[in-house]
Amino acid sequence: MMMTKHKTTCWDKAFLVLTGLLLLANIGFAQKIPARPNPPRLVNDFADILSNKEENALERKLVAYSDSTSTQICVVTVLSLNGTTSDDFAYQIGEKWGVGTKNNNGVVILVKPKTADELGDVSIQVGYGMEPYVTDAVNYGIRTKEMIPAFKEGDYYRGIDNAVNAIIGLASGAYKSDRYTGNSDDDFVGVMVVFFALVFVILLISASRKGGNKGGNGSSGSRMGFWEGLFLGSMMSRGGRSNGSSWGGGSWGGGHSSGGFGGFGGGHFGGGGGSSKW
Amino acid sequence: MKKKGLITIIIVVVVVLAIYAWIKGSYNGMVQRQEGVEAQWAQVENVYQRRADLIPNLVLTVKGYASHEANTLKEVIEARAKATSVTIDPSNISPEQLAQFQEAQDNLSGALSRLLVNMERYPELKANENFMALQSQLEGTENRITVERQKFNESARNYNQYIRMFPRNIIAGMFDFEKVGYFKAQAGADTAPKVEF
Repeated sequence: MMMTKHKTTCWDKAFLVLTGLLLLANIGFAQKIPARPNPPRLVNDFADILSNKEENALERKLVAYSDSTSTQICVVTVLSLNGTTSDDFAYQIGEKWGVGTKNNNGVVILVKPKTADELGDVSIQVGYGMEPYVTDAVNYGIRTKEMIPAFKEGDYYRGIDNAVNAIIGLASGAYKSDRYTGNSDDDFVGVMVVFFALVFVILLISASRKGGNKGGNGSSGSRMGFWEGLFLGSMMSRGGRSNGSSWGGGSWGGGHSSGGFGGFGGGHFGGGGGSSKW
Repeated sequence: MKKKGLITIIIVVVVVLAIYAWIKGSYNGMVQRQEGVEAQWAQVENVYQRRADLIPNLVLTVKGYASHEANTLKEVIEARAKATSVTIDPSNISPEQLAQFQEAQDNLSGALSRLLVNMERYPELKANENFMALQSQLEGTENRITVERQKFNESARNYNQYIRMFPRNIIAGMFDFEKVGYFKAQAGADTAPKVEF
């Protein structure tokens, strides 16, 4: 009987989405979803169902995964869906926050915990680029076999962690991070620009000194300036490089920040995925 | 006298250049937005096609278990045939054509939902792995349809607004940029039967 109930809600929901959403689309979006976290985080436990320790463990795992593959899995928990469906809520988080990168390789896992008078609700929405790896049928399996059994026992962390592990396994090798290739190129260009700018400045200074001194001592002075400058330049370039590869300080380096969790990359979602209640 | 002539020529050239730049900017802006609408339309067709592709498999699976549902199945098959036969030229998505397209697809949505509600009566079918997978795929596809329709409406609004603003509408008229239609909130889906337990 439990199964029967579940199926019906699935279908009811699909059509509710169809009708309700289109109406809403015409009115324009009210502020239904929470604002993008600042500083950006992949685990956003608004419902406070995870302990700090669990939250940090998940965040670390997801950041490491995002660093090595560029695929972003965003976990969000909320107490209220603000009148919309969990699928729509999760889709909007994905699209508005821009989970994923230009490959659209983002995943949003939304959990609304079960309360005394409301069913729990979980939705996994995948970005366009993830649809081939986390198909709807697999998505359904993850929700019903990995998450809901744990949720029924009240163990939200285990359910979410299971799902994250499953998705990581499915998408392994799908995308590569350009952190070590693309970004280091940017850094290199930046370092070269700084270097040549310095050389240019030094040449200018030495030229002007030369002009003032009219030869003689000027030559040793200019040589000093050059070596000093070279030393300075190498210092600067080292500084620049470490700056680029460290915790995405949003410096002049590359277009996208690297390291830590640099932020969401503007991935797009097409409504792939689904939701289940328990 | 010569100088005056020169000034006139310069003014004329400047005005002509300014008009040219304005027309060029507007025209290219329209083309760009029109391309956006067409690209989004391709996405809409994609997701509807995805649903159409799932149906034969669904029908096959259901047939084996639910012999009493011949009528409902026939309805689905017919609605599918009708829906796939209505296509739109993406370079001319007029409101009338879009309404026709939507009607055909909404009929299919209605037939499908009736079928799936009836399936609640067949516990063996619902325990079938294949059917469960199909059902989750259909569910995901309905989600996708909603999202892509919504995105289409957004890009259509963007384009329509652009071509209808004065004075750009003059250029739109000159080069035959026509208003495109919107998806409307579904009328058919409201009547989809609800099951109470």
